[in-house]
Amino acid sequence: MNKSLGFLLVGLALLLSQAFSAVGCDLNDPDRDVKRLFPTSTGFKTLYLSIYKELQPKIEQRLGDKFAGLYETADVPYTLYQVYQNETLLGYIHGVNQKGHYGGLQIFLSLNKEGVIEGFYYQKLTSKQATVLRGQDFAKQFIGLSLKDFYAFNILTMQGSTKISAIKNPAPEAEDDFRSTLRAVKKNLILVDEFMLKNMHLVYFK
Amino acid sequence: MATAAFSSQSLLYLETQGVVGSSGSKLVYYSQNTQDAMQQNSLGFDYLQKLSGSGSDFGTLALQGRVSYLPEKLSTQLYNAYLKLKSTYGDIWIGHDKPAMGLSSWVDNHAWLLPVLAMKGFGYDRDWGVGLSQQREDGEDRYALTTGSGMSLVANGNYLLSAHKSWGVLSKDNASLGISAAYGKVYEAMGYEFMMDKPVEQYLLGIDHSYNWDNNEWLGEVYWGQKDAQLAYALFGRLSTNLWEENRLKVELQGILGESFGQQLHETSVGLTYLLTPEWTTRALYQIDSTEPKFVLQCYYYTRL
Repeated sequence: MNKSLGFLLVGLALLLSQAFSAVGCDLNDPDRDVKRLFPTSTGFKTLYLSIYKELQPKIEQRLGDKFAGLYETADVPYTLYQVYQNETLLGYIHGVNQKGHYGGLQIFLSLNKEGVIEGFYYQKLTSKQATVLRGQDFAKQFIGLSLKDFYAFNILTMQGSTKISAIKNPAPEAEDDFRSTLRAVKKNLILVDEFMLKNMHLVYFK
Repeated sequence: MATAAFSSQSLLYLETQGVVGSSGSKLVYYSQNTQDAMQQNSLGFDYLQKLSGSGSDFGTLALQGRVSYLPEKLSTQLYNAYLKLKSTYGDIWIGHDKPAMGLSSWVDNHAWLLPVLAMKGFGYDRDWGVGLSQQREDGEDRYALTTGSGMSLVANGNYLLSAHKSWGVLSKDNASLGISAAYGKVYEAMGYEFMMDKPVEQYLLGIDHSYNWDNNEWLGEVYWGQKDAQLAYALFGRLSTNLWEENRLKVELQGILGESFGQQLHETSVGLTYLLTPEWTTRALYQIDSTEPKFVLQCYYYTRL
């Protein structure tokens, strides 16, 4: 009895090893965070999204880098918030996990219906420079940018679009986290473009 | 146009775990006690359904359970079983959820090997009843009226009123501070088992604190009060360090000290957690208390279906 149940548990787990992996990126306190990012909102809908495995190489190509690490696989369930004022869609909030210097970062963007950044913030960030990176002066530099700008920027060489190159790292000691942040923002925008915007920015990808 | 992505308003996870260890010279298949719900060899699920209308989510339905196996004993365990509705006063839950007491009211300890104070008679991991949570800009307020019976649903004049107020959100602010107050006529429970025939009067006051810096984490909690007119207190502290690429390895040191129903509590634990893949986690626990030292290994699998 003992052994057979053990085999059953392990067997079932192995059978299900092709299922989706577990870790997504949710807002800690959606009610509070949505209201802060969209002050005129009256509500939001939560959607859990995933990409099919065959899409991953295309996402990587658009990102200009390979997915890597524990929390960056095709199977990650992404949580996206559709924000409404009564029944009118105001925009989206979406967060991604990203490998940072001290463990994982969680970076959220609020976007209007056209995919233009209206808000940026770190939900999770552990760094000696966290205060500066979380500061409004840094966050403001992302407002108004879209995937059109990020498609013209190479996140590996950190060259390309002048708008992105102009973003100042407020904490030069945290260069790793700064680079990771730009990568996460680009990945975030690519995923929202895929999930919600019918790839309307794909025309800018070269 | 065919899409390469898909969406839903629900999440269904499967979890399974194998637990084996030794307590003195005895082979064990649990992390703490045969009567305690966590952790044992088990197979379970975790289901979450968002409920929405035309312009907004208005609630959440959650169901989480396990079938666990100890030699010659198969049992079912129900954890989350609640309906949570949004209201102008905050989120209201009804069913089986976390009462408003200390770290256990907001920390997700479902897979941990290291115990928390809720497993030592200071609060409950889950309790039956109703609760209200209000998010403030700088923290959260929680209130609950529950049965004070933990995993079992029993009505025998038992009840627990609890309140928790916190400042800061750990995963956002890297720190939080909370205060708790609880009063009621409650059962001293361990999993589905009651340690006493009748509920007893209890009041507890508590302070909890969490702090993350660099690759280190701290959780601390203190309770003081009375149970059945006897002094009850507990101190809990856990220091964790995350190591290696992507914090795959966590090393933890934990201490618990206290007194409950005249019995002394003192327990020191060392824990290791290693993330093998996004789905597979291995944990190890070495624990010293007033009885024999305990060593436990856990292999834990959690995946979305």
